[in-house]
Amino acid sequence: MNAIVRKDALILRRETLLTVLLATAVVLVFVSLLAGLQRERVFAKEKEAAEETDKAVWMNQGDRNPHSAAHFSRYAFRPASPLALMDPGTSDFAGLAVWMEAHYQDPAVFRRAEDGGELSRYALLSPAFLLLTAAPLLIFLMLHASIAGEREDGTLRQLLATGVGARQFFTGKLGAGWGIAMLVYTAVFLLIAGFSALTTPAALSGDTALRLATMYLVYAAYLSICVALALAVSALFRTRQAAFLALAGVWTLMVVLAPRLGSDAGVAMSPQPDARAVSQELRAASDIWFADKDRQQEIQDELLEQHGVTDVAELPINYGAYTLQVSEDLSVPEFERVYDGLDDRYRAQESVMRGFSLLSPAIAAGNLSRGAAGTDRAHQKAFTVAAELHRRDMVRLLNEDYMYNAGDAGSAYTADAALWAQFEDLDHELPALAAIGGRYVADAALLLLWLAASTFAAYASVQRAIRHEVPTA
Amino acid sequence: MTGAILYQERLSFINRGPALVAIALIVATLLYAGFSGDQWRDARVASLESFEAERLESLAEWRETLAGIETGTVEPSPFDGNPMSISFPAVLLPSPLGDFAIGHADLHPASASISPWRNLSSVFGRYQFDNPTTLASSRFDIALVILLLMPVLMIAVSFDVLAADRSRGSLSMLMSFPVRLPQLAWTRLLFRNGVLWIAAIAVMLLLLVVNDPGGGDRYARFGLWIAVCLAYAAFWTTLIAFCIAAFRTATNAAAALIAAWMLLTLAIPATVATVSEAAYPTPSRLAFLSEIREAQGETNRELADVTAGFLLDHPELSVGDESLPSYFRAAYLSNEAARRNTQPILEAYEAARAGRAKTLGWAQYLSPSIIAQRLLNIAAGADLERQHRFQAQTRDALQALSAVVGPAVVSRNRLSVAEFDALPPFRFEKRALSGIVSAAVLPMAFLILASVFFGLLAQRRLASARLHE
Repeated sequence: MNAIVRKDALILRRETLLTVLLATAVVLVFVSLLAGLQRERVFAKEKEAAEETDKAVWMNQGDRNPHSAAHFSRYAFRPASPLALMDPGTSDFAGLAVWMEAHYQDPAVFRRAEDGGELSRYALLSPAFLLLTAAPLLIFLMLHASIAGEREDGTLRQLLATGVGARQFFTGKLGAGWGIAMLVYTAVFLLIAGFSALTTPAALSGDTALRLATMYLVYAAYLSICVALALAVSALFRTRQAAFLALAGVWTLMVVLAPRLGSDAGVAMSPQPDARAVSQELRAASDIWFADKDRQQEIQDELLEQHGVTDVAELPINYGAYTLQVSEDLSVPEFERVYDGLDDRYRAQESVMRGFSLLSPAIAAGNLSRGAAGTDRAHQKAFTVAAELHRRDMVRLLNEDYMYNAGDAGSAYTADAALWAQFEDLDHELPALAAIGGRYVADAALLLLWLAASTFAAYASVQRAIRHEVPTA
Repeated sequence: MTGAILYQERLSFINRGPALVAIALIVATLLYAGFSGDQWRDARVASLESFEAERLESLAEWRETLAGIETGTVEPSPFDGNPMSISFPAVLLPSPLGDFAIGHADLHPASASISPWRNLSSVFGRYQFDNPTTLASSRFDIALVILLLMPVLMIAVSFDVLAADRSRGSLSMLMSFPVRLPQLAWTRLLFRNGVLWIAAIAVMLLLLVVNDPGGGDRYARFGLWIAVCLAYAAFWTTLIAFCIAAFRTATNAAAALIAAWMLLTLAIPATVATVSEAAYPTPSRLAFLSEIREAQGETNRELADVTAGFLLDHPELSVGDESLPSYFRAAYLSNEAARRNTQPILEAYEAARAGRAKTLGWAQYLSPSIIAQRLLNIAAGADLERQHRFQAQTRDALQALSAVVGPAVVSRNRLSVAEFDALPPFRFEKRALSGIVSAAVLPMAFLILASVFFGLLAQRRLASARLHE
């Protein structure tokens, strides 16, 4: 077995074209890291500046009615993931900031992808993009002749005649391909991780380490699947060219077609929401109190009865401010209904996409990679949910100040910087991977299924090739 | 002799499984992409038309109220006929060939409410409700099939046009007939790839007719689309010819072609995109937001002074209904301040975009895929420049409206019906087809020249290779 590994390793080392392609891929990894580093650094600075400005504008707004201030409100800014450098995932296509205004749950706005250039929808270089697309192609180039070449040259028969067992042969071939792939991958990954750690030292934490380890394992499994697929296909054919062509087809399906078809089928089955219709639903949710005169009367009667008075002017609180908070409380379940509906639609789309993982392990690996990098929709949702909870707290703070302190001033009441200072910054951090890991079980299971199935397919295919070459074996 | 080669090709190629699989794959993917694109376009058109109709109806009602106030038939409240309530719809409908490529159209806003209540940041409303996961994958449209899949299938059916005979030992025998190697190679290549492209063009023609929404310059745009497809096909055919001439074994030819495909369609476009965006970063959207917030905060704080300053600049104005809440003029004045403050940022945006466009102007010649992608998107109206033009025209329209209504808003007066009627509704100024065609001439000429270059190289190598056979 060791001899097979050594021989295959030697042959692969002599492939000049492969070496050139590998070197090109490594250079591209570094180009993508540098470009990613620049992007993330610029973004971090911009976010910090925007947060400072937002806070300064808020604090310097002068004396003002608290509800008027709640309309002006503040923005919540999405924290950057320390591993976005490795896999920007879907973060460029999700909003960066949420306006926490009164009466309305806004979507996250300012998507960085909208600032992209003409080619940005084509592909943006990142280490994850290269690992998902270029690495399998290199593996297929490296291993297409692994068994088909032996069959074409007639050396498989010679090898088996020396007494090498079928299992030994398979293990040797798999070991050679897997060993070289893992050696190169591990070296490149360590360089990427080291670069990330050196350039973002503040972000290093136990969770980041766990995320990095998860990414390593995900791509190790993905590339192992590619090695097994290459062997399985190579063993199916008697010539190098047929094996290579078949692997090129597998790669095209796996990397280019299936992910896009999956996404498109998901959208076809659960169409993207019509933004105008969603806006109208949110507007209706926001207006639920103002549009319901009966409810307004009911609430007023209840409050008057509760305080034992007959006129709102006799209430110990500002009735206008009270109704503003009631309107917030009534709108909240409606906002949740609208956003939960959107979330259900997104999940339906992603389930269809995940179904296409049966055609391509790249989909499951991509989902896991984005999850580990903290750049998928689940992390975005965690941010928007945190921003909404913060909005509710802060609007309540302002309304209650108005309610209890307005006194005779009524709507002319103003608060000052002492109240504005109580509107805290949103302190949202990425959720710990260990806490949300359950969301990725299906993708992990699919990737493991692929690993098992491809290894078995490789084994069965090699056995078949051996039987064809040496019928008595 | 060409006829004999074609006859033999018909037997050996068409009757072969892989060729049929390739043709079936092209037909299936193009049909799927075409109908999916049609569905997307119809949904978008329906949404935009309904938005436009609703807004125009509201505007007509508002005008009726204003006319009633002017003729004395309506007793107005301070809010009736207020110029702040003017809201013109602006929509960017998909182009007549929008079902062929979606490009950037699903990412950017396609509608806006041009109203003095809106500022440069809010004029497009809330539109960011799409799932970022599916948005990041980009749509599976006809352009994608042409750009990525067609070259792979061309390689798959062509890489062994000579090597198969060479490995069987039948090439030398073929050469003993009165046939030249270049003639054999070119005939086979053109036949095989011709079959694929005829199938593709037939499906696209079918989609052109079946999905025709009627009107517009759909057929003229399709002419450009097909011209780009043919130039792209010519490039890949000659590149394949060069590789099969340069590499004696099918494996090496296939490896070189796949490497070229990966480089030209994925690595170079991705690298060019990354480098041009890094070299010309757009100003931060967050900085844009900060400027708007600062302007709003300052105006709100200094409203009395800002209003007095505005009225001082417009001594011809007499103040109208004082019962109108001050937030009307505050909103207008803060939006105006935001517009002034964000002007340098917008100029920096334009400069960055111009820089990127300039970079792409020469970098496109590094990869025919970039050229083809740009031209196909332009032909289908799915290019980024069209989105930016809509956004710029919307901003201009907002500024023009603000300039007209501003004095009335700040002085708490109404516009007259005649003044309102003089306001132009928003009309998206399309790029003329002649402009699109002229922009395509140079890149197309380059594609053709590159094809000729590789064709000549292939011819030379094939001619010299004949001696070895």
